[in-house]
Amino acid sequence: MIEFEAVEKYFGDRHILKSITGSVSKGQVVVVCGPSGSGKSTLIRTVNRLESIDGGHLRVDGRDIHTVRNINELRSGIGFVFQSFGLFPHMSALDNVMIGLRRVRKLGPAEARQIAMERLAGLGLADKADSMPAQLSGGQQQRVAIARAVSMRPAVMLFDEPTSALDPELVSEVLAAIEQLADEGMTIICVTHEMGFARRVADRIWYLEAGRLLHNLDTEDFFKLRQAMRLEAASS
Amino acid sequence: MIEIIQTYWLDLLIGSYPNGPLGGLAMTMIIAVVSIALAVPLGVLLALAELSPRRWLSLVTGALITFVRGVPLLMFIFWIYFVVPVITGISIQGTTTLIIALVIFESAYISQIVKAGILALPKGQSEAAESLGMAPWQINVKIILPQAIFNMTPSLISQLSSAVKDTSLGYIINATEVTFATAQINSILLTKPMEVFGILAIVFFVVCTSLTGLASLLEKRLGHAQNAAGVRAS
Ligand SMILES: Nc1ncnc2c1ncn2[C@@H]1O[C@H](COP(=O)(O)OP(=O)(O)OP(=O)(O)O)[C@@H](O)[C@H]1O
Ligand SMILES: [Mg+2]
Repeated sequence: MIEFEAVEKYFGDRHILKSITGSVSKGQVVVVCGPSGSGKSTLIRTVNRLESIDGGHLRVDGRDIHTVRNINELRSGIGFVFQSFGLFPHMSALDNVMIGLRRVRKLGPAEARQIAMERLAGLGLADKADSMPAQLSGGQQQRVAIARAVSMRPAVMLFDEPTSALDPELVSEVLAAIEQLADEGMTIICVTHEMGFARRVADRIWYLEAGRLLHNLDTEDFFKLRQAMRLEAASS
Repeated sequence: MIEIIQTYWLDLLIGSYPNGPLGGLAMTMIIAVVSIALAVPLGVLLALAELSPRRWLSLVTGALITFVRGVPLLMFIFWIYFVVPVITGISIQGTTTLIIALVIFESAYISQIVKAGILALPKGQSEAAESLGMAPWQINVKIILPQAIFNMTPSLISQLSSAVKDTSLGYIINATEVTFATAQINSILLTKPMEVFGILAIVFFVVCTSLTGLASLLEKRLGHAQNAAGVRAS
């Protein structure tokens, strides 16, 4: 579904992604973790070409997304959820969810509204449809952002630290929403530091360090390795 | 002074209308409002062109804006009033000249206001819209410009205030605005320039200070609203 093949990325002369190779198959949930500055955001942003790549290939559904002609069509099939939500503050929650359906999917107002309302309701936001983003809590805003992305019926959902801008008590409602998507069989790449969530939901863990994909392991193996490294660090 | 106002208030307000063209303060306001109303869309286009990823478009527009901002308004008035008829054979009447000159002049300044408004928006706004698959023009029309222009309303009102003041230059080319009306009253009375032009000063002061007052009031309101939103979003 998503294939990284020796992907390279530079910012100026700084080498940010170093020969990243790995793949995510349909329905899989991959959690990306690693220290701050290791390139997690950059990695996930290359998947819908918010960042260009400087070497290698990146294929989504078999299409090389860095040579594809109509990037907007491709992007509309890839949901992206940002750390800072990225809701449009001059539109109600409902309009935020509707705008992609109306302007990109070209649906009529009635149909777009119906789909948007269903999505909002599915995330427990039916009564917030007419609220402006500034009137919502961080957790509610992030769930609106998820509804907005999911309403486009994407083949993949990308999350870049979706809970790290939230007050601690609001984290779980957003994680629950992502978990629900995973249960429905959505293909997901999620950058997060929430290791409990990773352990519950992820099929594989990608561990980045200084731009290298240092580990690409089944979740269970990753946590075994982590445990072993902890013990080693503690005994040395 | 009161006497002069009592006698000539109608001339100050609407000029010699209905016996002649509309003039006075009414015309001043019409000229200023129409000029700004036309300059805003033009300024938006200039701002978008200057911010365009197409380098040549950005450079050409930037140079054009710098040029307009580096020349006094009076130059444009002279060119349109005296030079354009020589070149094209079409002479343009004073009020129309003033409006055209103001539109050119103000659109350059407004483009910088709009540009600042666009650049002040968080980068996440266009990235979120791009991620939905929206086309660049849709992102501008639906996401970026509504926010940028809304946030910049106070500056645009201040710009209207300076346009009101700048209409006084129309006097030179016989545009029938409030300065022209005042000068006519002065030449009827002959001996009262202090009172007559004192009235003109007060008229400008009241109108323009009200506008800038409104601008700073809005500025505060918007500031509060944004802070509230910002605190929630961070
Ligand atoms: N637009 C940019 N221009 C230049 N350098 C950048 C840019 N974006 C990121 N970087 C640099 O690239 C490196 C990787 O950044 P990235 O944001 O991908 O890290 P991250 O793993 O997501 O970190 P964090 O956990 O802090 O979010 C960092 O050193 C960062 O400073
Ligand atoms: Mg990051």
